[in-house]
Amino acid sequence: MLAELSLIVAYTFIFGSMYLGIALGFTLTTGVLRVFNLAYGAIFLIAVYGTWMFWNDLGFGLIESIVLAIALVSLFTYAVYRIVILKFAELEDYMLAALVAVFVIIEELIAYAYPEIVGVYLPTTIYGELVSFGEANVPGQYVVTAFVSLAMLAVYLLFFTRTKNGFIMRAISQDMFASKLVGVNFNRTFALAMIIASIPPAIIMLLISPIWALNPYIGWSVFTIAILVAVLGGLGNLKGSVIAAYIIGLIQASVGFMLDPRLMLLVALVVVMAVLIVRPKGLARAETIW
Amino acid sequence: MLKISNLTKRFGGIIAVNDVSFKIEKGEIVGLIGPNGAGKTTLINLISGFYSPDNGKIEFNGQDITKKRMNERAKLGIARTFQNPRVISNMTAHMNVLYAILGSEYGKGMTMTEAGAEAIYYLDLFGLLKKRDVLAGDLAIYELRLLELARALALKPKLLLIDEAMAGLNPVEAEAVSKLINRIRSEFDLTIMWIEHVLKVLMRSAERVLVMHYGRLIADGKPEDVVRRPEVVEAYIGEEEV
Repeated sequence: MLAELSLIVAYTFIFGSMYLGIALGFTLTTGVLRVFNLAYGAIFLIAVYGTWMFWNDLGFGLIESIVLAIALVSLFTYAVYRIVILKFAELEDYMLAALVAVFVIIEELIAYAYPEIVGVYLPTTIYGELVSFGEANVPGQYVVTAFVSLAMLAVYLLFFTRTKNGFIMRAISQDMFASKLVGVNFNRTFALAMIIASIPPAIIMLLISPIWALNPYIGWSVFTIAILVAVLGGLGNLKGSVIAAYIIGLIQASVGFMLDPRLMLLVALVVVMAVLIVRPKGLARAETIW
Repeated sequence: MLKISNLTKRFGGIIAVNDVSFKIEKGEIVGLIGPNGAGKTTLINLISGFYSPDNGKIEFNGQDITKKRMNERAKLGIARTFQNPRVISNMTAHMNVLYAILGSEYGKGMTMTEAGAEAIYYLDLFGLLKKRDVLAGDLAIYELRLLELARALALKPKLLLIDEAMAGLNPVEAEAVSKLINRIRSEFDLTIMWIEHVLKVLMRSAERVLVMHYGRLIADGKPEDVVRRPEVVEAYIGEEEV
């Protein structure tokens, strides 16, 4: 029982932190741009398959490949902003359809170039040993991923509370109209938000890729987690996302070790739905990024 | 400084602003009056870029700004206040003014600390220093009006558009706001276009008054002359006072 409890506590921390990292960027774009970025799932794919392409196919070193893949992810999100979000700014339905189309196009391109049978594997393990947590032993790479995720949250918080651009993004997230009155350059701020939003999910995906089996369709399952966290937290609210990530982590860890691992996602979905029936706007009270 | 030519704005079958033309010279303080529904706020909305006109042209310092967006006009030096103050209610008074500074051209080169100190200066100017850490949403209407003015002034505007700064204020507060507007006008070399529903508020401040009725500009002149014109008196029939 003690071992089970240790596992649940350890994996609540691991899953919660990891899911937070996955959802950070989605929360940022929802909070600042007020856009439900359905192309977000493509970021996970471009991060890992981009790194694989630069490293395995083009012969770059691993670190250079990771840097190039993250640059590619940033370029992709900037292009999504310029070509899709700006273009369909006044036509939200068309924008959402176009964003899904972008995601599927990227997914199919990757599935064509690197079918599942290719067996993509990235040696991005930082710590391959087991780590003791009370009575439980957990993979060290998971623990590294959790701490990197928390470090990225800290960077986000410093950015929002200590920098001019962060302050401007917070203000836009609270009142876009008032922002227009003071002459803020929206295009520049939105483009910056899109790029900043793409980095945490890319890094988290690279860190967990040695543990998770990669395939060209993994983007949807990871994206589902990002949506769950963001929606439960209250769309676009970072504080809410932090709480939501650990609630979902707790649910999944409890279900995984006490019921059946195959029910982890299903139970999380049902619980989130139940919470949303009571609190349709999620857990956060304020419709702001922070 | 500001040249409006044949400006028209329709909402469905209603012509809110109908073929309006006038000029405002640098340093003028121009009152804009008219009965309810005359089109005063729509005109301000057109000048500040909140609405796009159906016809006509808006020039600011010789530049055609008719198609420029609201934030671009703010950058050029057009600031405004609202009849119902539009501040960021979840941010403190200080943060609201700080945000305006950071969004402005001159604020680009400032650090957060420098911009913060600048924001304090504007809060102090409007007597809001003690309210600096109060959320804007918790301020009284009088304080909100001052905060809007502080924020607008923090943009270092050339033209300030004021939409009914006295609405909801008691006579003492209205008098204080009026004095402050006159003070900032002379201290900051501002050009002001000021909507007030009741002309007597503007009599002491405005050198010139424009009168609108049913979307049209029906009078333009010195306040004491304008109020005697038959068309202005007729427009105000049924109103409480001119």
